[in-house]
Amino acid sequence: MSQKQRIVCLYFSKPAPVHELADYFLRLSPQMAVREERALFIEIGKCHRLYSEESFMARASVILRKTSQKAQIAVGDDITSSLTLAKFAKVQINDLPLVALVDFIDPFNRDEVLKKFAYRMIDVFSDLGIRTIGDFKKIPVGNLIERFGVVGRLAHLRVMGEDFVAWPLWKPREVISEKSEFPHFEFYGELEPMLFELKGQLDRIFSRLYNRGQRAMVLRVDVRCEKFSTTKQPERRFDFEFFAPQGETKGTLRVLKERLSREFEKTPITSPILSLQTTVLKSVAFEGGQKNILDNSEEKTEQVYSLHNQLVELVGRDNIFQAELTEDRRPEKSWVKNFGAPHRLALQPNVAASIPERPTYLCKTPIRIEVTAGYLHIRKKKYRILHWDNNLERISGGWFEHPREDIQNRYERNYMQVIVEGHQKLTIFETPQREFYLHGYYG
Amino acid sequence: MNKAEILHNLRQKTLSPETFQKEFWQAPLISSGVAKGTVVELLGNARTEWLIQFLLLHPELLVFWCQKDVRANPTAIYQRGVELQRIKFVTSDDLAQPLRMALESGHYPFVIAPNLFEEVRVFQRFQLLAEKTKSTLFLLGEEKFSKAWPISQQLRIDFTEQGMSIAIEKQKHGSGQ
Repeated sequence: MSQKQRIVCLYFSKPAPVHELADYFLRLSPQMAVREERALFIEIGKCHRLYSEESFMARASVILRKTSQKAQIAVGDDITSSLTLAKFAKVQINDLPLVALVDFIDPFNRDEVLKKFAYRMIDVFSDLGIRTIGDFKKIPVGNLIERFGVVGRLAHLRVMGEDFVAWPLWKPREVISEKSEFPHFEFYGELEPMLFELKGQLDRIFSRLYNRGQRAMVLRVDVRCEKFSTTKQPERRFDFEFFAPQGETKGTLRVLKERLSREFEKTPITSPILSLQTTVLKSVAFEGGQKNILDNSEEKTEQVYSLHNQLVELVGRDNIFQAELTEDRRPEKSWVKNFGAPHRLALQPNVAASIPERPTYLCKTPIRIEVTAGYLHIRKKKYRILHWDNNLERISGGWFEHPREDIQNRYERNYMQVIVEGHQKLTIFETPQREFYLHGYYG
Repeated sequence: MNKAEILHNLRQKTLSPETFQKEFWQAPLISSGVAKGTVVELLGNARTEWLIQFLLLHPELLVFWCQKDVRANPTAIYQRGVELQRIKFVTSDDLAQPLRMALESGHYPFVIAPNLFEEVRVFQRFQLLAEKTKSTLFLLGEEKFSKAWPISQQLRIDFTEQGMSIAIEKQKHGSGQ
């Protein structure tokens, strides 16, 4: 058995961004239609088990408040009744003024010829003293067809709720973008007011993405400034590629702030800002569900990712990493930087267990040292040797790659552990040329 | 009895509320533990070895390790039993900003960095952020202890013939016992 239709109409008396607003309602119902700049229709009858009409109204008013929009809302059994009730702010169809016939006949405001006929019909009936739709309903359908033909028949069917209006296809916009314009030279290149504007834009963008079940991977911020003769770059563009998908304003705004403050410090904005636009260049799907009330690990992971994004922006992608062990025995090559997802590493190779204990710190490059009787000479300083552990480890390699050639990258090291005065443990190695190098130290 | 121990005993006797409000991490060789949400300065040639042992006592918690250039040897850390998955390494010329972000986030109970700071207000900011998020910032000093007052605990850890020795230079928050 099919569920009875219940259509909500949000009617805007002033032109409004209905396509953008439709994004906000995507989570409440997938069936939507728009009348350009004026009305948004949402079918909620099939969602009656998820929410009531009252709770929908409450949510709708919150969304409208958040987006700073004002709309008249009405619920009806079909598109035409909900539209006319919302537009004329009435409760009963019969109370609607006769001019509402135009919206009954052409609810999506697409057919100018049809509207012309409708207005002619309204003029005629007004002269006859018919003022409301209730009065119009009393006119016999035969007379309507006789006088106004197919338009009269259509008007009758629509008013009586006997005609089905096909829903025009509505698809979410391909590109999500929010733009603010400042025609009155409200501010120059001050960062704080810009961030204030960007926060509003990001709030709206993330809300729209959330309703689509998506998160932002790449964002673009366009700053358009007044063209002065002294302005070198009137149009500035900043692309933000995130390490992890972003779904929250707070973390994203920090990343934006970091970059913009750095860029504006380098090249300040010297003319008034005309517009600020944020566009989502790439988004990815995410599985949004109800929050886990017993465990907030998912939220924590998201926050760690957000912090990671901010750090990447601050210090650069190459400077934030995790260490992953390799099978190379050379201390400096025994690990590599892993720039992958934070706190997720593959199983480490088991080499570390079979090699001697490594020093906690490694020198950036091995430091050439001198060894004399009982002393180590490091950078022209003399250290008394307390303990010398010979032949701790021998590492050689490179030769197997080209056994018959004298290649540059072959290595042969005899490692030793030395304790010098102050009980400082050092790791040094000796080359076949009997040269000693300090490679690492403990502590 | 050194100054820190005298202060500790006095706090015990006067039942200073500060002593009881603080939560403490269990720490090797130091029965009083390390207070949560504080700035701790470590000095001596065994400071990192001690710190690794400390991390080993709290295997579930994440670590943020900030350096000016890559010096710490992850292989050594792994060999001593600390999972590398827990540790995020960050290298930066300006350490204050990443440290501030890590402390502010509250996701990293342990934040480690070399002590390259001089200004008291930088320490003060760290201390306020650490206190707010209950993260502990370990600053690895080189030669001398810093005189900055926001540092709550200063420990000198050295290798000796008997093994590792620890001396408490300063301890502002009593102990966890």
